[in-house]
Amino acid sequence: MTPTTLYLASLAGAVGLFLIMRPHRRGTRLVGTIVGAGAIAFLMTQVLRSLADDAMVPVLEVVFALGGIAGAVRMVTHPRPVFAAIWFVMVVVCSAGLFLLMDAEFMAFSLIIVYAGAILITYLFVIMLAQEATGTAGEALYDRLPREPVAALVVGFVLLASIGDALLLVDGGVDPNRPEAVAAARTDRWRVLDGMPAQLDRTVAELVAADDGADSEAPLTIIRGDDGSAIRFLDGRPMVDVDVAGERRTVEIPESAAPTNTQAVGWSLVARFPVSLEVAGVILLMAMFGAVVLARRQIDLSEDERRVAAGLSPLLEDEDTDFAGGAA
Amino acid sequence: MIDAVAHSCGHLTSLLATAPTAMDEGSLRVALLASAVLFAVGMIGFLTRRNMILMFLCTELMFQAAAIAMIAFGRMHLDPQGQVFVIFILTVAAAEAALALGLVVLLYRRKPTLDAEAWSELKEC
Repeated sequence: MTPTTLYLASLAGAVGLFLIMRPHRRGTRLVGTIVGAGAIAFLMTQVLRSLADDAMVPVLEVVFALGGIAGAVRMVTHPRPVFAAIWFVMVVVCSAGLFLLMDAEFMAFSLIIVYAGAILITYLFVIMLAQEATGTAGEALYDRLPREPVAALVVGFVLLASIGDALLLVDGGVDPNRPEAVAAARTDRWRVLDGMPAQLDRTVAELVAADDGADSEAPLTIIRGDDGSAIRFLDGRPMVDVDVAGERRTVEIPESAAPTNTQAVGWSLVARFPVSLEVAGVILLMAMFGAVVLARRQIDLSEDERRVAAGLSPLLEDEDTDFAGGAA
Repeated sequence: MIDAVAHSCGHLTSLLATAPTAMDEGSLRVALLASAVLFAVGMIGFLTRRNMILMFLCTELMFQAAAIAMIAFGRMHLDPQGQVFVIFILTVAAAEAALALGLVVLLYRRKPTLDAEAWSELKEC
């Protein structure tokens, strides 16, 4: 892919989105959809053609990416807010699929739970609250007319062209072939298991029991090295020295005992970013306070009611007489 | 084509308990392209929508795009830090949704419209 094709595809995408966005007739919107879809499809084929010949075409990734982009475009252009929110659910589901394909299963499911399950429902509540009060069924005028579409599209697609430039073109794009990262990751992953002594004990006990047969009641202690780590590497394979009833043995940990993605994320969260975790909790707490303060209804008190609230006796005995009402 | 789908599906079913391998170049590129497009579309939506709730929804779309890029780069470097960062993105997005929707409800009580132009006197120019 050359820069020119990227810029031309961005331009075509901008024109397509412009035609979809304006309150045009149906035919014009159809043309816009075709132009925009063509631009995205062209970009996708260009990206895939720049791969090596023997590289596998990531079909599911392409499907999820296109689905997410389609949902995003429909969300931005849909005249009804409720439908826009529902299209955003499609974006969330598609990006969760992408996460799943990129070995981030914990984040994929928490994305669906937190975004589609919690945040989107809050948005839908507020949209419905506001729409019901206006009583206008269907589309409000301000939802149909875009604001400054040309300027926004120019800014947006210049941004897309420059991000695409940086990610996909400069020095042939990003190259994920990093053997040293793979080697480091293979050993780093076992550090997570090292940090979880209970699970390590259980794994080693199961391995020893599988070796010995049924009589696995012998007390075993894991021998830790000078740096406190139990796992050492022999030709890249993880080994644990263990003391079984006074007899020293070496057990190889199989691949199936490796920490899962969830454990690796949790370990990284707790062991490497503990302060950030605390700060995230504080942010959520503050957001809760802020929402409560913002949503609290302002109560207008009359002068007498204020006196009562301050612990004084009311000046007026008869509640019907109102000389100069505070709330008037 | 069938081979490629089978490859992807096999990859999905063998997610657990496999040694880390280098990422497919294709899936990295596709994910990064998707993230760039989603971010641009989200920004266009933020600039063109007049409905205050939908403007905030478009910021959520930009958060999604950033999260996809984080996960893709985390996968490329085989480092769970990318996923940890997405947890923080989710936290900030949740906090932002709570505060933004509270603000929208507050503004809606003052003027019964969701049009952001109704508050354009706040920019004082």
